[in-house]
Amino acid sequence: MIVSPLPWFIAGPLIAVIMFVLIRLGKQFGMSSNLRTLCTISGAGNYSEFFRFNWKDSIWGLVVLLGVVFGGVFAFQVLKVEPPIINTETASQLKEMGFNSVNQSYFPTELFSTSSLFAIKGFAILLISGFLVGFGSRYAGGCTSGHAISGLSNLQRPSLIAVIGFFIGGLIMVHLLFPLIF
Amino acid sequence: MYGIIGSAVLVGLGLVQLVKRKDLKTFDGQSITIKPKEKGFINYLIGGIIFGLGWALAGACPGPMYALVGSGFISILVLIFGALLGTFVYGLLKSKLPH
Repeated sequence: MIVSPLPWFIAGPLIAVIMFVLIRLGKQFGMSSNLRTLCTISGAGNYSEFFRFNWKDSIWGLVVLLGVVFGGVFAFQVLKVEPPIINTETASQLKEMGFNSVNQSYFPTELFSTSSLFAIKGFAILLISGFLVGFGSRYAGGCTSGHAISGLSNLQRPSLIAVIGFFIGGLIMVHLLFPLIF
Repeated sequence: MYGIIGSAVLVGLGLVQLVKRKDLKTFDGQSITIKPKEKGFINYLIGGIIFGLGWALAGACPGPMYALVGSGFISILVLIFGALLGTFVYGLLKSKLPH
């Protein structure tokens, strides 16, 4: 079975519904906290006070995480979701940068294929981008789910500042740094 | 992308208001308090910008990252390892960073 990606007006509200269900379970919607929990479980508490908390109270978050993994397996392997079709202008800009897999693969294979994993540049991009996501989300106290969805829905000023930061960083990367990197 | 975030926030706003106005309880009958975010500015802005840089470069944030594992691209594991490393380094530097 091959399906198209859900349209945004279904996918977006579904995310809000997940937040609603978590709130009614007495929890909060925030995915990046799991990174901290995983660090704590791996023994990071030996190095920093930040990781000394009772991770058993956060197991529910890891259960959500596991659900996300299963959801991904289901979407990619069973439903075989088609690659999203990107705005024509963006697609041609990406092709100029050498991303020929636009609209053919869910990710740019130029970055995510196993062969680029073994190239220094490909490996460095993956590791550094992951590092920035992990470091930044903890410094800001949340990521797209904790701030953009949960925080903005609850009209939190700190979350608005963080989300403005997300987009400043994103725009700098795409418009100023992409031409230097690719 | 703007459509997904925008519609999620709009619907989210309505649902949070519903919880507050109707004083909805959790499924097991307890009252709900949504914790406000701590006060601050620098940490939210700088942390947010750092996050945004990685977000755009990776093309994934900390939720979808795990869903992408299901795609079978093992490269995602390097991304997740990087995110764990970044979280760990933040924990080490936390007391030295402006908040």
